[in-house]
Amino acid sequence: MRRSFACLVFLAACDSSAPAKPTDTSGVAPSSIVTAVTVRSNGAAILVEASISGDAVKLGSGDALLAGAPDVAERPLGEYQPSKGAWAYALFLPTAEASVTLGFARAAAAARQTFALPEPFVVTAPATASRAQPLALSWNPGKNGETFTLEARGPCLGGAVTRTPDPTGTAFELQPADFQKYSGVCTVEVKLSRRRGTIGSFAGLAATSQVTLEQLRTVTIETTP
Amino acid sequence: MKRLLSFIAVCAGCTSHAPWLSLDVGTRDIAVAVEWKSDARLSATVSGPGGAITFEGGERVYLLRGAREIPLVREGDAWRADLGGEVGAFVLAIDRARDADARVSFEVPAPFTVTAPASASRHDPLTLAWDPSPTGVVAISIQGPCIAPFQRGLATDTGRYTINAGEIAQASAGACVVEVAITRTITGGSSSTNLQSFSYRASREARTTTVSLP
Repeated sequence: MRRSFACLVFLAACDSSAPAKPTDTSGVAPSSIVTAVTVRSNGAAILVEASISGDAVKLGSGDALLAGAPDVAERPLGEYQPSKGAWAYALFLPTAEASVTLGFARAAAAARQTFALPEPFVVTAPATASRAQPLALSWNPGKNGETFTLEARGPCLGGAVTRTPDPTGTAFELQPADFQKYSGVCTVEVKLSRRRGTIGSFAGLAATSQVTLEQLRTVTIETTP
Repeated sequence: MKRLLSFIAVCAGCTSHAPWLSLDVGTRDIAVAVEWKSDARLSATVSGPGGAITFEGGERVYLLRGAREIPLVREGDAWRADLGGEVGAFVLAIDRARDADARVSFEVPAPFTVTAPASASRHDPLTLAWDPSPTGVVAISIQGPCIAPFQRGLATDTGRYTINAGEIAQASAGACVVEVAITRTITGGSSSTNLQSFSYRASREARTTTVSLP
């Protein structure tokens, strides 16, 4: 009896230490597949990135996440491993369009939904500017419900300066007091992001899926004392 | 048995005591920290391995403003003094009987004023102005019932800052009076003194109000 019990304990310990196989979406209902998608446009191209969580962490062999634009044919997102045990999906769309169609395909069937990106914008900024004066940036306005973020980086800024201007506004000034004491020319890179997110089912996927839609622009300014 | 117990009691008393009487503490083992804020008295801690030091045998700690002494009064574990509105350079002095004296310097920022417009819409820029200074680090704080608290540290003190439209988030509809505070903080210290450590922090605040409009 003691030997049997000891054997059972040993086997139980062995089972719990065996590495788990990654779970894929084969046999998982689409409504249970939780997907997080980011669609990011720089005005000339769109990058679609996605990941899967919950009961499955990667797509099964018969499943695909799809993306397309009005002027770019739909294609499946490519799979890659950003780190061991993790899977992600990405697709590059060469389009300046401000809408994207996302879909989920299993065998011959597919469900799709079209999303409008936030309003595209063009940033006006000086090529050169003095840090002793306000540094003015301007762009065309967005809408309420969007988040607008400005991140400026450069050695004269001591890291990143992050600001959240009015999302419906059209202008922003970096102040002289935002810059550290710095002699000489300092290259400042400013990233501006107009972002909107949704949480909910799309293309038949889980109700807790998320889609983040972003217009991203970058400008570079050579600043002087 | 009684001799053994007495021996153990004496040994226990000898092994664990860290010195806190000044005559038992070397200058190299003393740590000094000084703090001053607007509308408050200066506070200094003078510590050794055994905690806050009690000065004895003619040893003492005090402040110097030029050649003039300002006494420090012991309150709990800290030493305190009312600077009476004086600003600028001060010295904290520790006179020793059996070791080297210590002298460390710190600065109290001068008073300054801040101005803001009488009112400003949260959808318009808000410009604040104050007397600049080459020393110290400036931070802005704006608080009121109809706005989310706004805090920002500045990289340099230019005596002026414009908060862009929309940066002050609305907490409730309507207008309200908001408090604007500019805080200038001077910090410092030195590892090159004959003390174990020295640090100081002195903050001066200037306040005004403005009406925040929708």
